Amino acid sequence: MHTLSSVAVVVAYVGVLTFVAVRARAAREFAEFSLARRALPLALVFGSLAATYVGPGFSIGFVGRGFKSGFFFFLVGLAYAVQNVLVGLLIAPRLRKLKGCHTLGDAIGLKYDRTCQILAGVISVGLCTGFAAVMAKAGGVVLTDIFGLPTLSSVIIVVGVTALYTTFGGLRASVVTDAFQFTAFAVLLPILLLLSLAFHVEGGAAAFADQASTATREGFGSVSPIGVAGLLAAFLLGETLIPPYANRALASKTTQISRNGFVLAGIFSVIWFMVVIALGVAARSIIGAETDEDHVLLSLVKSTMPAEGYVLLLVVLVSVVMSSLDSLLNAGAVAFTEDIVRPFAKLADGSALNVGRSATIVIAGVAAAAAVAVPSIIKGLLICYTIWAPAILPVLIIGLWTERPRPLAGILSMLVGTLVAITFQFIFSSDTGVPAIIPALGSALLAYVVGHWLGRNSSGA
Amino acid sequence: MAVLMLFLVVVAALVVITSGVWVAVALISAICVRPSTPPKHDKSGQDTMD
Repeated sequence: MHTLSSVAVVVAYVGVLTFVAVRARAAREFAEFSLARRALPLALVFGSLAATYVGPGFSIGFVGRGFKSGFFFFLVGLAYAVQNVLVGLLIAPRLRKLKGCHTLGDAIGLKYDRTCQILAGVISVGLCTGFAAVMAKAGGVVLTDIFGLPTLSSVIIVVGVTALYTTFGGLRASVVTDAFQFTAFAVLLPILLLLSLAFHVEGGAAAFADQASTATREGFGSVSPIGVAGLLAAFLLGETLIPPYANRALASKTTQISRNGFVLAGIFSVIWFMVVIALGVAARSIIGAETDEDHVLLSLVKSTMPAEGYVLLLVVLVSVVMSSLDSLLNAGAVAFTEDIVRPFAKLADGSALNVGRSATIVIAGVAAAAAVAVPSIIKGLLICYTIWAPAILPVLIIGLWTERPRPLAGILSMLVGTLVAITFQFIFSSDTGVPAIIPALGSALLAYVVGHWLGRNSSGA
Repeated sequence: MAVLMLFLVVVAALVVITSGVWVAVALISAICVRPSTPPKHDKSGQDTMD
């Protein structure tokens, strides 16, 4: 009986998701595929941003962190909220104001030159593929937990379904399905928290506060000051304006919506972190202390919900992953078309749409294949963050805030930032103990200054 | 103090649920009302379609 109703829950959820994806309709032009015709209202920009950043790390990962280290990670998460608010106030409106831009590469090309655009495009596509591989792995793990399928089959199912609606519907389908998925987890996870607090935490408010205080003390004691600095840097900069977020800034209906969407998403992240960390703290008095961090949420759901609720929440967790994955596939495909193909070949709108669709499928295929090689979800995400911030952020932010930035500065900063990040991440990280993002960001900024100075000399200014 | 902490957590949960409902309403209107033609200008008049 339980199996039958659980299957019914899954079928109903997939049915509604399919309906939403179909209603989002297929994109008929590249402008629709890449930027949803720049007509997104505030609620959809906000919902889609939140659905994109609430991936496995900010749900399963944060519940686990709350379980082990209480509200310590809530404080680290505040850096992420600050980042979103700052992007909303200072960068997103400037990005939205640029004419004719579909991608970050477009924006960089407009401010610097074509070589910088191509370089930014290559970095964007590479990073989107890397992030997508991590999401594919996470989706595969959750699906394996539900149905007991082999991991590779689970990865193929998650990536296949996501690629299907993203290939046809483009950004609009991604944003609309994100909104549906956001609604599902924004309603169900807080309900799980309220039920746990009301019926499962013994000792009431005092016991909850005791657990929170003990775990938070343990959390502060477990990380060195340099480790805290690295975490804050990663949360502050690692995901800043990665291509899916930039696309939402560009696709907003107005500059005000672009700004307000990011500011609201930042404020929401504070509240979201409080909910997921509180779930982890509540779990301390419900499940065994020896539970593995990545399995805290699943164990909590299993202990507190009926079988159908457990299955529904598992499906919602797959949604959490899919809503991040679809945004990455679309952003990677648009960056490939706009920043790598278009600078070399004049494409008619129909051809650009076809290239974008083909690129979605290819990136999805590469991500599915690479998912098998991803060491762990958090490790994979940290590698992507470490490369993205130094490679793109100095060039983008300085470019948006200065009148005539120099192309040589842009090229040197992107190349040096990428190379130093990769070198420190894969070769020196264990030797120095310093998070790779810090030296890589410093080197990228230094390279920018050198490039600017050399550029000025060569132009005789 | 303990009661205040619990109160804040419950309020946070309710705010998240409210956000979910707000986005759901926007989603329903987005998929039920299809735009017939692309807008040429936004409401602020600052940005135009590219």
